[in-house]
Amino acid sequence: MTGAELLLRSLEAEGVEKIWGYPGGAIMPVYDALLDSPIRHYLTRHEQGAAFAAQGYARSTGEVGVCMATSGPGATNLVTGIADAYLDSVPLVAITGQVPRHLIGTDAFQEVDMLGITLPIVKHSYLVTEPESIPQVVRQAFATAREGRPGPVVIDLPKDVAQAEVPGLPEAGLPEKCAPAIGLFGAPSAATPPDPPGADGLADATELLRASQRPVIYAGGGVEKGAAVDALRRFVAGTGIPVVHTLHGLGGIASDHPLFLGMLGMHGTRAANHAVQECDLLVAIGVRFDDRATGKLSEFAPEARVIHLDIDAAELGKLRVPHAAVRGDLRLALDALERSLDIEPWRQQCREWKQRWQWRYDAPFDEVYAPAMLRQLSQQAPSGSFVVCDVGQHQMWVAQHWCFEHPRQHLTSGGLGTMGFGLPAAIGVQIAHPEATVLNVTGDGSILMNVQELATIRRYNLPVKIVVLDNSALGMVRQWQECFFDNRESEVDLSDNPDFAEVARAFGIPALAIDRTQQVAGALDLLLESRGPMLLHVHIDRQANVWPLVPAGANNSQMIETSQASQSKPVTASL
Amino acid sequence: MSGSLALDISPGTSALERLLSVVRRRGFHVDALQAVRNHHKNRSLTVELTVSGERSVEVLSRHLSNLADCRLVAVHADSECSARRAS
Ligand SMILES: Cc1ncc(C[n+]2csc(CCOP(=O)(O)OP(=O)(O)O)c2C)c(N)n1
Ligand SMILES: [Mg+2]
Repeated sequence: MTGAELLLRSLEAEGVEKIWGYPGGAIMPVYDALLDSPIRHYLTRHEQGAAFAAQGYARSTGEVGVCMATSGPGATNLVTGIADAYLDSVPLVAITGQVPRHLIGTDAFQEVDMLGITLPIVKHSYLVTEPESIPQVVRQAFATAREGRPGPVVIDLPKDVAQAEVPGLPEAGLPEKCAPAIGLFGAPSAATPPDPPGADGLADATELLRASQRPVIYAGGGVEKGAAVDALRRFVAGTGIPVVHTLHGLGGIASDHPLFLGMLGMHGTRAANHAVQECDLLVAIGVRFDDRATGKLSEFAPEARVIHLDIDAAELGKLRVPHAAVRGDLRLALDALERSLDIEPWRQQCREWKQRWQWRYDAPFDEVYAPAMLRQLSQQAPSGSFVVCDVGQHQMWVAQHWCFEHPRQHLTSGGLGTMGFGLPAAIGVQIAHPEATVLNVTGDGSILMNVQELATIRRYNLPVKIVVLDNSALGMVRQWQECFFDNRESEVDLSDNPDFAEVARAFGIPALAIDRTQQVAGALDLLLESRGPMLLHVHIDRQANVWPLVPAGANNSQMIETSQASQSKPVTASL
Repeated sequence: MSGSLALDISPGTSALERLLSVVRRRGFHVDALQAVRNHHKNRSLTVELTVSGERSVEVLSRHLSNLADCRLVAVHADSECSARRAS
């Protein structure tokens, strides 16, 4: 058998059934071997699309996503998707072709140092120099991608290694205990359970909880990654502590839960930011004190003691030193924490804030009001639907107004904030969940970043529903120019956009365009009832902004809801 | 702010590159570095590193411990004052 065949057998042994990729010279032996493998390969129309589709699969299933590209430009086209997976802790294995071993370091055709390029954006990477090591490399790559805090792993495979003749996999596959470590220490196996939480940290946390009168739970993406959604819900039910979520935490407790105060941070709700700034105890669960969430760090939750629970020791004390640090399995940690708290006056206060600052959707004008439309769409979409966002104002409107059931159903590029994420990620989600409703909410800027993937949707007849919120602008940047650059617009105008409905039709995808509130209900019905893919092109007000907004570097109590430039206009997207 | 670390890393040169890349990206300067091939222990490299920076050496050591081909043997932080703790 060849190295390429051995690679595929090894992937099969990991349970891989689907791969997204794009062929080329150095990876050709693997593409040849694919013809005889049960693994299904999905051809995207750009390698970045392959990386994001694999991410969509991974984020929506919790399994490792696999993408593949040739050396040189194919490999570099994966880089954004790898960085995105790194910042959002997504388990991803990226397999790249490399020039033959004897040509490495000679500036050969399509040679780039993929290992070097990706060094700071991977959990680990391998340049496979011995064909016989392929099974162990694959086993360890998958274990590393999944274990602890998940992340991306690169396997760079020289063409001659893929072509080399090698003995096959042992008959019985590669049992865990027989897998010799690559490198010095190897990686824990996929079966390794997360470490139990430390007893000292738990004891400190219990004391802090008992002493607290105004606690707030600040829960993030680590909750879902640690399979701790149920444990969080039990903890909230048992303690009655009000909850704020980060962008990636949304859905940890359902959006309509009475104790949910909203997302915190730059585009958070007033109630959430207020509660955090006023609390005396912050129970930080699977979060990393990201600047978009904390605002000015030194003034974040200034009166709070902090309990920080995380699987990654490097997060504890990275930005805020906790009074109790609990590293390990979040499920066990949450179940072990104190429950009996006497905080009714605080709960009452939070309820009051939530009530006072609830969203209003009664926009007085005829144009489509995006927050109201998104809310309606999320309420109308069947239970279990996925929403996959791009990056910009529309992404924040989804975060603010969508009714989330579970964090896994909300896919968004939070850490890297990559425009172009949405469409290909939705492809991966739809392939992983063929029966589910998958909605891609995108902007007129973002969709053109990976618009070629409409061809992938058509080819595989994926019933992805695409909603393009078209404000004829790079809206988020325009809003910042309006708010912080004296309304001097620089290179944000997209008034010469193509007709997105026509674009979709050119790819064989049915489409509909609307620009009036009265058209929304009918359009959403059509969208949700359509059996195949569909694109809904929604014209919205160019000047609409996302409120509230905490200016970068300000503390989270300094939320603004209007800019100088927009003062004359009605501000409807406010709390 | 400054401190010293002792580590065992995999024989391949990429392990050293990875280690130094984390040190740089997490905001530290290398003040001294010694790497010696250990002929008894799987040909690993024993690395002794003195670093300085604005952030916590303790946290840096935890970032380094996360590397798959790196084992932290010892860490000594001279002084710590970086991350904030509200009281
Ligand atoms: C790849 C990439 N390039 C640039 C940016 C900076 N950026 C953030 S939001 C944004 C505008 C997005 O425009 P659009 O998709 O139309 O969304 P809108 O804000 O208008 O809803 C830009 C340019 C980015 N996040 N990603
Ligand atoms: Mg736009």
